[in-house]
Parts: sequence; structure tokens; C-alpha cells
Amino acid sequence: MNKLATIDLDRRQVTVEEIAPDLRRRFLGGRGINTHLLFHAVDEHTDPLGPGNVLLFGTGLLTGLPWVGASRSSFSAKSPETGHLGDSAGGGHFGAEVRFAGFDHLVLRNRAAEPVYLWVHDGQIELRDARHLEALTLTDTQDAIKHELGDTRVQVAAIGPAGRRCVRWACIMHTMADAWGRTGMGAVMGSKNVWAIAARGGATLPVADPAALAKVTRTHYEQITRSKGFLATSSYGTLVRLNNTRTQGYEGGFNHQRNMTELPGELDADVFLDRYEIAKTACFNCPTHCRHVHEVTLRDGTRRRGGGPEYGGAGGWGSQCGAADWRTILEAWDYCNDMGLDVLSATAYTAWLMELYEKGVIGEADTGGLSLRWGDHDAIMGVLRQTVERRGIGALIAEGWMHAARAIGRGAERFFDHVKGLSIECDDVRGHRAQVLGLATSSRGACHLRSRYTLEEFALPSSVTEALIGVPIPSDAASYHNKEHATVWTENVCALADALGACKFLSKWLSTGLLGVDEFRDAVEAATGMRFTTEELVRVGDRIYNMERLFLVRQGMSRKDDAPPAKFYEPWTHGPRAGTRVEREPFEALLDRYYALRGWDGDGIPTPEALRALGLEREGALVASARGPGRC
Amino acid sequence: MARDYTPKHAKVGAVGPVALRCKACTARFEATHPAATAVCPGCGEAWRIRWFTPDSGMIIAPLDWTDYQARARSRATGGSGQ
Repeated sequence: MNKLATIDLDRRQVTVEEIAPDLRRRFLGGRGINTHLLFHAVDEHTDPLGPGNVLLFGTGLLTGLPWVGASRSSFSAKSPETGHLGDSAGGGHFGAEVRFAGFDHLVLRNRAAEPVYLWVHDGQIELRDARHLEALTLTDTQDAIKHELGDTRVQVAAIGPAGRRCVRWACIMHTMADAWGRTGMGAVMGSKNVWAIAARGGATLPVADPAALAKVTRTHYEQITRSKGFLATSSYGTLVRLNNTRTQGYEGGFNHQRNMTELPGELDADVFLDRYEIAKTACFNCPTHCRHVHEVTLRDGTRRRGGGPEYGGAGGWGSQCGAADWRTILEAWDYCNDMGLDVLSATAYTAWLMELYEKGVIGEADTGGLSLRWGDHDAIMGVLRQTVERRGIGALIAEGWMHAARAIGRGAERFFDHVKGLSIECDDVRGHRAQVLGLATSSRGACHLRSRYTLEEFALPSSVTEALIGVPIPSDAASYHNKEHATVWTENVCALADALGACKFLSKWLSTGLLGVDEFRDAVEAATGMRFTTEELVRVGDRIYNMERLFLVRQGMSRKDDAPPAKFYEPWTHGPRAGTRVEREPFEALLDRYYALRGWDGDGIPTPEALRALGLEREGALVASARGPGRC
Repeated sequence: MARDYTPKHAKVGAVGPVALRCKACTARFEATHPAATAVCPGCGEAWRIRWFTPDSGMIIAPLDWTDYQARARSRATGGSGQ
């Protein structure tokens, strides 16, 4: 246990070392240790798809332990989609199985001469020939590996055809619909000629105080299952957000041109549950079972079963691309999962192309003959197929939106909504000030799982948020007052959860009745014997976020990159809060207050004092030497 | 109706009015289990309610999406939304 394995794919060598106690204490695991390793393994010149990039896999400190929802793990690398920090967390059973097989972190270096998959089992790592997997979809790839290894309990994280062809927003998948989705980690894996990682192990993870952990787990289980957040997600999963955004006017429609569409009532979570859902599944040790399993008859009459969908796909192809029928949504969702395309990027790219088509920026000569009309089934599927096959307009967007915009010209880049190069998601949060700030400052680019202050949508009384965050946050979502505290709190808690391997759906990120930092502290102490105060644990999250910020600063990023998409400065046109927009002056003042709270200067650069307080002086000095005086 | 995944122990709860927040006007109002629908007294919007437990209800959607969207459009263009 507590092992980090470095796999040199070029030399086919595996080196195993202990994770130093100091590194554990400062970064815990998962995204935390990954961020530290990534910062030191690459630099601002590293080509994301070159052999110099590394692909890191990290399990959370608590992943695989008998604690509620201890399932999460992270892949990290320099992103081929954005060119800077790449990192994606996922659930399922893979992270736990890697720990049972004897490893906490894997570091993949260089590039294998021929396609391989890694077989991680019982303290060993083997490189196995993967050439026979070339024609297979993701679910077939996983089944083939399990069959080959003679054990259906093997857990597999794999890339599909999109990752093997290095589509820059390809993801890594596990089971039918568990994804490490964002920032193109599947493309990095494909560039290394690693097509899958299979894991199986029988080890028992050591627990410092089993009786205490059992008691803590029981308490947390009861706390979770009595909360309204749990009740909602265990019924609807993330689809609860589909109806919320549609009714409250932050739906994000037609590539964020509208905040409320007039799509039919078919686009409703209850319609999906009633007509298409056949079961629910859960990640390792999770009581929620938020994952849907669906069955759908496609247009060609074939019947298929798939995992999901999540809100990102339903709202993305629904509101954003205008497809208000579940068959189209589910077919597109399943195709992405089969091929290994990141659904959030897929919906954003498709909606972007549809707006370009609507505005006459592109025509059928550019799209390989596709008529990209809103909501059109053939248009959506055509874009996805062209991307995986790297032909037509798909060949352009497979290289990322920046490449595609340059190739298209005619101001195409103005219609792509992003932060730091990563597409924003389907919901339109311009009326939620802490969420806009979090979107702008998010360390991997636009991301709801890093910095979305979800509680802002519930109009909670200030007394509740003061008890939670230490500062009263106005219940009015449109207020800018004190929202910097909400965003910093969210960013630190999310970083902490990712380092622990805890699911955010079981945390106060989603609902005040769920687990907070105090509960995380109790679980860490019972499981590992490591003692932290609540403040010290929050500081770990702070440290991770600052380390990620240093990564961005080294890439040349600063205040100019902490900006919401241009469309957010335009007013909402529909719904209960029509007229709401991001106002430039108060937003910039909010950003100033956020920087001050973080201990960053006015340009968003961490100050030496702030870095010293977090023990990041060495990294600050490295960035200063790379970027010049005044940069840390 | 959608399947009910509520754990047995979570189904125990006092039956009485619970507070809901209208998704159109954000005003709070009360509804009582097992009413499947509720109308906001402030703005008049009618909502479909899902009861996870007798004391834990949630607004899921408007009773009629088309009407709701038409009223939203009317409000945005200066109308009363009626």
C-alpha cells in the first residue's frame, strides 16, 4: 500500500516507490498528489501529445476504504484540448480496484512502441499487447480484456476509437458511462499507445482504527440518506438539474443564445425516468445510486442499453443543440460513450457548429454535406461520426476548437463559449455571481466540478451560509456581495474532495445536509490515523488550488484569462430573471476581492507571502525563473 | 410514475405542510403530502410535485411546459405573464 508506480512505456520498465509521508500530508492523494507530480514533471514547453507529457493516475486518500462513496480517482496530464492543466476525476469501481491491486498512483512516461494495455494486479504491473483491440468500442474493449484475463471482476479504464486517434477531447471510460471526461485525458493515453488499464487485486487496505471508521461510516451514511440532496439525486441523478435550469431560466439554449428555450415538454427528467430508465447503479460503496441505466429503441429499430445520461448530455443535446427528443439524446450519449468522446465537449462543439451554420459562417461545403439545423438528429450524429473518423468538419474539431476556428476563419472563435480554452457547460449561470466567478477562476478552465457554488441556487438564508462558510452569503443569487468567500470555499472543498476520493454529490457542495470538511476530517483520522484540524484540511485544498494556479501562471496565464465568456455580458432574454447579465465593473471588483482573499496580486499571481504560508515557495521560485520577475 | 428508490428508513417522517420555493417568482409557499400538484399563491404558476418522503417534497416541473414557456416569453416582452 501507499505505492507509486512509474511505468516507462518506451523501456517497458516499472519502478515502484513509497509515497513520502510529507507529500501525503500536504496533498493527501488523488488530484492533490497528481497536481504536485504533474507540476514537476512537465513545463510550459511540453507538447501535450508528445512523449514528454506524463499521464498520472491517482486514487484518493480514502478511495477503496469502507467509507461512504470512497470511489473517486483522477487522471492528470498537460491537456491537449486547452494546452494547460489537464485533470479529470471519475467514479465507478476502478480506483478502488487499483488500490486493491497494490497501487495508489501510476505515472505513465514516454510512449509504447506498439499499442499495449496495462495489467495491474497483486502488486505487479504488466504491459500486454493491445493490437487486437483496435476495432472495438469501449464496452467491447472492456469485455475483451476481462475475457482475456479470465475474470469478470477485473475493472478496466480504457480509451475508445476517439482516444486511439488522439481526438483532443477524447475521454477515458470505465463501465458503460463512468468517465474521466474533461480536458482530453483519453487523447494523452492514446498518444502513449496505452489503450487500457486493467486492475484486479485481493489486498485488504489497512485501516488505522477499524471500529472508529465503522462508527464514522454509519454516522455519515445516516446523515447522507436523510438529506434532501440525497433523496433528489437517488431518484433523478443529475437530471434533477435539467428541470431546474429549464424552469428557472438558466437553461443555456442554442449555444447560449437563449436562457430559456421553448422546446417541448418531452425534455423533462420524469419523461426519461418513466419511458427509458430500467435500473440504477452506484459507484463503489455509495448509497446514492445516481447512475441511470436506460434502454431505447433507436430510429433504425435496434434496441440498445446504455449507462446514463447525466445532465450535461441531456441539457447539452437538448437545450444547447435543440434536440428535445430522448431517442436522439440517448443515441448521441451512447455513441460518445462507445467511442470515448467527452460528452460535455461534444455538446459544446456541436452547438457551436450549429450556431456557425445558422449565422452563415459555415455552410455545407465546410461540414462535409451536413445541414447543421438545430435539433436535427442526423446533424448531431454526423458531427460525432465525422469527429471520430476525422473527416469533414469533424477533422477540424478533433484538433480542438481553437484549431477549427483558425481553419474556418470569418470570426468563428467569437461564437465559442469557453474559459481558458475549455468549453462552458450547457447551463447558463450568468445570473449566479459566485458561480460566474468560479467559472472564470476555475483552474482547468470552465468547470462545474471545481468551483460551482451550487448552494447559490437554493436562496439559502445568510445564517445558514455563515455557519457553513464563516461569512454570510446573500441569498440573492444576483448579489455580488461576499461571493468571493463562497467561491474560494467551494474551490477548496472541491480540491479536498478530489484529493480524498470523495464524491461531491455526497458533500455540502450539493446540499447543506451532506458531508462537510468536519466529516472528512473524522473519516481521515479513523481511516489513516492522520490528524488534521478542519482548518488544516481546508488549507490542503487551498494548497492544491494554488499549485494549480502556479501551473497556469507558468503557462503565461493571469487576470486576462479569468474572464467569463463574452455572451455572459449580454442580458438574459427570458424567464423569471430576464435582463440579468454580468456587469463588468462589479464583476471586476469581485475578482479583486477574490484575489485578495486568495493572497494573489491584482494580476492574479500568487504572492510570495501566500505561497510561503502554504509551503509552495520552491514551486513559486520555479515559476518566477520561468516567467520572470513579478511572477511569484 | 417513476420508480421510488427512497430507502425504507428515510420514508418515516411527519406528515404536514412543507415549504417549497416557487421556481418562477422564488416566493416560498406550502404544500402537503400527497398532493401531486401545487399552485404558487404569489404568481399563480402551477407545479408538479414529487414527494421523496412525506415531509420532503420538491417542485419538479411546470404542470404544462408550453403554457409556462409562453408566460415566460410574455413577461420578458413586457407582458404580465398571464
